[in-house]
Amino acid sequence: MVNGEFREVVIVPAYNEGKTIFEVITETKKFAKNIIVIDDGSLDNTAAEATRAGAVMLRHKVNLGKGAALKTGCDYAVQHGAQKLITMDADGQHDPKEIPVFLATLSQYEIAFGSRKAPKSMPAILKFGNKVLTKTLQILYGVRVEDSQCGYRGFTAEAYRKIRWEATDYYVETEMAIKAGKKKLKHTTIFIETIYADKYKGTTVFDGMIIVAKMVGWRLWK
Amino acid sequence: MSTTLWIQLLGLIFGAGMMYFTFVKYKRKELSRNETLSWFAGWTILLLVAMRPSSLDFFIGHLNFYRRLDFFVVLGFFVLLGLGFFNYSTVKKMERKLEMYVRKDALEGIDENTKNKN
Repeated sequence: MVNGEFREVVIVPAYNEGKTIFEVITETKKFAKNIIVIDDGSLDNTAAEATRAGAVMLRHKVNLGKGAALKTGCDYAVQHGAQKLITMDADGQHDPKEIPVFLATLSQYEIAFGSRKAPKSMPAILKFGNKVLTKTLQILYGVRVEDSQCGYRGFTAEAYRKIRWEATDYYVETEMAIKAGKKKLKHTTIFIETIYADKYKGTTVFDGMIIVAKMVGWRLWK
Repeated sequence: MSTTLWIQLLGLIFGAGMMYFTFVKYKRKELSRNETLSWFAGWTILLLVAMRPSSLDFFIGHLNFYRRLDFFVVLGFFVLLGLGFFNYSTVKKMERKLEMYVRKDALEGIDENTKNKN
């Protein structure tokens, strides 16, 4: 299952993405040889579909959250010699065509943050929420990230060791950015296209409030 | 019926109900004998105070509370905050353990799968 050239790896955390995961992996394989899917305790056929599409499958027996799933995938990749890691969502909102751009960027930078161009199909509440979260991050931590919640990112194995997060939930993206800023990692932004099919998935307003609360808490106590 | 009597009656019903639930948990082997006894002691104190609120007068006098109910509310807040903190720390500890075991299982599981396929 693990390719001999296990240098560049795409990591896809998935929870109940049985409808989209096969196509996402099939499309991604056109741009990357090694794809790791972490089935985060899905109740549907996500694992079977991802295996059918030819991804390396890691399975959480119970749902732990996006942060934990990403960490499992990144740990596995780094343990098996990966040098460049790309993270992307399993719902098909990220275009795999951008993978070569991320990989090329990682030759000059330690972290590349994806930033969504906010298409018309992006729900208004998400646009507003993203602005609030990104602005809060910039004000509290001074990190110049354009989209604090975008899951399409790339980082080197060395950078991963420095930013390895504690968050098990949607705070993972924010924690990544905060740690990248604190460790003064060389980072840049890549603007990406996004396709929104399901407005009920991903970060909710309640998740957003928790993220803001955690950002404030971290600023005060960490 | 005076307000005080209503509160006393509610306290008695609540205490007796909680004793019943504690006993059911014990019979289902979800609580150990010692845990059950500790909770029973707590509910018994609540029942005694509900039956004889004047038993609190000693503390109320020393702490200069105006009414018995004020003392009970303040005490209740302390107990709730303490239990809240205890529950929070227990849940956090369990979350960390669960995360560790599930992630370890996932990482070891893939190695087994890879070996089987090769």
